Amino acid sequence: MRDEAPARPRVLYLAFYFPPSRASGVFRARATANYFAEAGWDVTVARVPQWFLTDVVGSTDEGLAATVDPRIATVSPALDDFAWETDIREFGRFRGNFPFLASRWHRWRQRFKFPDRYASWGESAVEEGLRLHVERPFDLVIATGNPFSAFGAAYELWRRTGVPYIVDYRDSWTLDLFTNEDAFPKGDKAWRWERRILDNAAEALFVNEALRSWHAERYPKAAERMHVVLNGWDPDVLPEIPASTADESRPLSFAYIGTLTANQPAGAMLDGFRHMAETGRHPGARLDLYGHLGFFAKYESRMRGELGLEEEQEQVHHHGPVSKSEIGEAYAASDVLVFLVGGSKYVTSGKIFEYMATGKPIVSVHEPGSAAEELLRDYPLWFNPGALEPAAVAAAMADAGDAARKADPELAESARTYGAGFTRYRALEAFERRARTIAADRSPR
Amino acid sequence: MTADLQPLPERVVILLFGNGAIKRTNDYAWQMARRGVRVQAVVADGQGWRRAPFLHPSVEVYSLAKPENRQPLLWLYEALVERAPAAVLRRLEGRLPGAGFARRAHRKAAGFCRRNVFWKVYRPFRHQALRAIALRRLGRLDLGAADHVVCPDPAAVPLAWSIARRHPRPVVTRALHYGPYKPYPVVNPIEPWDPDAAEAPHREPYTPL
Repeated sequence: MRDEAPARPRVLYLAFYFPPSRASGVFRARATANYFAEAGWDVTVARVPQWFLTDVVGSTDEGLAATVDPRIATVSPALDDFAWETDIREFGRFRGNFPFLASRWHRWRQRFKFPDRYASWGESAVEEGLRLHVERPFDLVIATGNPFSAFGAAYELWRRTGVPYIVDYRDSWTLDLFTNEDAFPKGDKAWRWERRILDNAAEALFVNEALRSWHAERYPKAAERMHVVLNGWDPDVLPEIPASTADESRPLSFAYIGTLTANQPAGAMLDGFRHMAETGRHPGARLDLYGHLGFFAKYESRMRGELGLEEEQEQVHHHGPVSKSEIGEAYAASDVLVFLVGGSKYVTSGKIFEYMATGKPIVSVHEPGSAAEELLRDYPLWFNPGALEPAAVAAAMADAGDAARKADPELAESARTYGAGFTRYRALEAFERRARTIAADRSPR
Repeated sequence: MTADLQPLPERVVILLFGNGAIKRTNDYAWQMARRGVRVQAVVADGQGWRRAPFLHPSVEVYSLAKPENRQPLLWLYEALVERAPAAVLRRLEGRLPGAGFARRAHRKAAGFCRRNVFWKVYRPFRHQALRAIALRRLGRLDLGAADHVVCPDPAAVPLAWSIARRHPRPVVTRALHYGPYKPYPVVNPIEPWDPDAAEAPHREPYTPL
């Protein structure tokens, strides 16, 4: 039977967040699906239903959806809307009359599924996967988390069909990236599920070596099947940024380009910038913020208030979301890029690759020891304050501003050359080759 | 776009049976009221409301405290376990040796009973009892003509669900989300409400319902 298998290997990609979602990990999912499609795979993506993006998340990026390879088929397994339904008219008689009992009943049912609030999506993804597998068998399942219900679905599909699966940790599941402690208490179901999933996975992928090592130590049986697939920048999203010198006649623009979230030390960035302005270095400099405030539309006003952006400020400008076509202009208008990331040694942030590709001076505003430092260490225009104190951040910003003014062309060129090596496709090359071998070697069940 | 939009003649009614959502409600009410939306709230402030902050002065607040506290079993519990012994011991204080100690001991015991007996028994039934009480008294708010009924508090869901079944017009929702109103012009330059601030504007007492 295997001899009659079609030439194009078939992969089911379980990616809850996939364009038109604009969630943080969506570029990795998009690149993976596109790369596999271009490499000759028949790719089917299972993503979240559209109502979740429009009604719950509150925003989509249709421009990004247009960049998905047209050969990729997309399905949207159902998601139980219990937790997100706010229209009381949609509540049934039981929930309308006994909201607490209904909520308890819902939680109790969830306990028997998978320890994740998106478990119902995982369950539907298994059903959908089995239906598609009967039509034409899959050779491989790739699941990307979070949410980790995707991992559960991949495991269940393997259990029922024998199709090997690969789990891609865009984020960590049982490790809290912001405290570096366990995210679940001992004995929690999540630990058992993670062990089960990793022990049987054909491969597990991580975004940096620190995360891979942490998991390898926890799950030694699966350690040799754990690999690092770095994030990267997307040449189709980021056009070539012309090399430029910050003109002495105009004030400098310090910029953060990306979604601002509550986990990032945005306060340290603002304090550092204001401190630099007070010291008189780079008079008239502006801090330009491009992008959404929070991933969920409902948190935007809260973040705006917390960051003091409610009122017009002379030196800090929030330009709002930047479309794919405008992102190049935003980078071109910036002299110094501020790299903002929450968490510490396990957090890289995909944004750093895009920043490095521009060849502009980068100021780090994050806890010392972030995994991104490994990448930035060899970037010639990196300015690291080493701490989040306003004075340290201000000094690093001022030094980066000086570098932008001087703009040594050789240094800028070497910075750009270094950053150019980190495209997403380059990061995916080796993974795709291994995936092809796994798919070819699979034994049918 | 903002210039083309007229002030909103809308009316929003917020249902609060607990005090957990007051801060969010105040933020929401402020955003709505400054855009010309009339905001009303129905609160069950008779029980478990002692440390609750006040609602924004722009909100017309209707209180269910009296009818809630007049429920026979609840009234009887408070009279027998809390008020009557406290009154007797207060009168005895200074006249009988040990009465002061007994008064303090009673206060502690009554607090213990309230936490571990009263609320354990009353909480599961409270939202149902309040629904019946509220439905008998909500006629004066003319909910059928309201535009939105919002219940950020899960305990108020049964009442909101009953309102949704009786009145087809209002949007009945759990979401305190003013996003759709953001493009509308600010017509009332009122301040956000910080009840702890020394210069906080005076808040009228809640109107009994």
